[in-house]
Amino acid sequence: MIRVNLMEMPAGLVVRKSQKSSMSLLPMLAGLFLALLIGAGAWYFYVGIPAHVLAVLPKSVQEFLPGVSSVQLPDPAPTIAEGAVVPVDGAKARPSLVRPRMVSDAAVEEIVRTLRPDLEVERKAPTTYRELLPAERILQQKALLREGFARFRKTTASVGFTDLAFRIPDLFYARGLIADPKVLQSFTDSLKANVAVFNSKPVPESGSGGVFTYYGRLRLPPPQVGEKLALLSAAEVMQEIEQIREMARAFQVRLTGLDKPVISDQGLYRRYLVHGQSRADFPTIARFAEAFASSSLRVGILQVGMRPTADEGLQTTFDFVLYSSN
Amino acid sequence: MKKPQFSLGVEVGESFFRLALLETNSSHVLALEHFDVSAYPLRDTGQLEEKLAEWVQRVPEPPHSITFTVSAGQSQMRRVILPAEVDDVREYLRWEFSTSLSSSPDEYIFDFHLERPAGKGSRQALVVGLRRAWIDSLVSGFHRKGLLPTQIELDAFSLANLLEQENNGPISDGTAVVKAEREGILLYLFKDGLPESLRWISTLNVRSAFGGPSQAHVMAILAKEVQGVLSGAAFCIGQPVGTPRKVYLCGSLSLFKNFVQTLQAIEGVDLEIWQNFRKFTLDAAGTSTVHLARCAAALGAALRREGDKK
Repeated sequence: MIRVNLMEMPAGLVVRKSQKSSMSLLPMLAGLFLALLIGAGAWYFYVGIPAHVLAVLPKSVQEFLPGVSSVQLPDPAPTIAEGAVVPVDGAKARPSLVRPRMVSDAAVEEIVRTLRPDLEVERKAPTTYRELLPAERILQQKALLREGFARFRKTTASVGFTDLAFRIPDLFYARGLIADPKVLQSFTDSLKANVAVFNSKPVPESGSGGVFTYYGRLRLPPPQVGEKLALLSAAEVMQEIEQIREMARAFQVRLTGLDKPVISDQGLYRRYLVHGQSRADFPTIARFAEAFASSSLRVGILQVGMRPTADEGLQTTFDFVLYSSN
Repeated sequence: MKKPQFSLGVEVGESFFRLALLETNSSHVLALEHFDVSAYPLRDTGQLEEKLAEWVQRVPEPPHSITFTVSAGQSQMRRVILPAEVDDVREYLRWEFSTSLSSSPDEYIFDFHLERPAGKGSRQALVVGLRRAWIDSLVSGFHRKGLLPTQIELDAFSLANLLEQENNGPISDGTAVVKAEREGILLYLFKDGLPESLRWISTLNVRSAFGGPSQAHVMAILAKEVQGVLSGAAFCIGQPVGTPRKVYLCGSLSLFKNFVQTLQAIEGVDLEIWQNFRKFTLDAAGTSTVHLARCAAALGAALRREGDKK
């Protein structure tokens, strides 16, 4: 084997190769001893010397120890003063061996005293959708539905939508065609004025031919927490889903997929996702959605999407959501 | 039972470096790796150190010894026959070495390997020198001094050591190792168990063709050139046949089909792509066969241990 070494360490550079700590025994023992000493000192300071240890210590040592009063020590021969009350059971009245302790800052008594059950921790008023509790989100979800359909329903007479979607917390997406440039302009202006964030896909230089793609954020009322909704029970979930079906029937909307909720365990609560689909036309869907949004059903909605089908119909999907206690 | 010893071999190339982590007692290869860098690692030590430190964190065992192996083309290497009357070998070789340099010998870190070939009376020495500036830049550039190599050797020696380990004995005369990299092709011919002849084929002019449409053509030309140089070198070391009988091929060009096929077509040559090691076991998780032919020099370097040079 050829062994040459062209590595030359500069003088004075000591390289330790081993990654492991190589603490030798002596410093380790010294460290342990020191830790023990500090521990014993702390024990003595806060707790004092246990009585049975104190009892075996010679008197000279006991006197030497500061803070060990005669109260702590077992009295070898208690003297009973004349006229003093002697316990009936004849047991000798001996002073307690337990040293009364000073209440320090960290003592349990102090901690208990500082507790103020009257000061309930105030929940900060939520400002965003994410801060809402599950059941509270339902109100916000319904507000989205109401606002979304209100914004787009008025203009349907001359607008052909190819895609229209609303999604929590306040997102919208609309794509469609308006042949009349004037109508397109007024539609765009009214939308711009009434939504919080308005974006549009850039129009090609040759003109869009009336095709538009708008997306952004709807202007929704701020999250409300005043009206607290309780979580549903497992039995109520099915009742609520049944009520959606009833309501859809009343508005002549045929909803499918309601009988297959997807359940996910979120720890403290359980979430049911119901994926409802319908092929009803836009005005019917809008009427149903608005009625749903104003109803007292304890059902929320994550997303509504509408898009045309191959046979020139309209396919609408509702992602309903229900929250039940676990 | 012996305590396992982990040894890291690092092959430092012109624009890459390769790593091999070896458990030396059981010859078990734990990990192989190839890294590309943008500058010569001994000059720009930052990249080398960063990647090395990160890799050492990842591997299952930290190495006890680290050996760097640099290309013999970056060094000065002489074969010296020692006169019988020489007492102070080191002093004599230093003088001999200094006469072969055009610059001051102080600019080189120098070491040698002594051998007394069987059946020959005189001792022979392989003398090598590496520019001090590179070692200085390595030592001063590394912040983590624990990652500094304990040994630095040349790839010719790493490959010779690997070959010796594989053959379980001295390397037979006329054996050649071709280390074909994109940066250039190095050929080593062995005689008396030591690297006897060293040849270099530059790829500088054809490097731009790698990966291009004319790659296959260029590879075939390079292989022809290797054949010519091999036969010339073999003639120089007194081989009766035109080309060496056994050629081991390693390096990144060994992954190119045309290159290998042209070399294989040479008559009378037993070409072996160095990707099967008989004496080593490979860890399936840390190594792959594609890396093996490339990492031969790094693996050879990993055979060294700290303090093995008496």
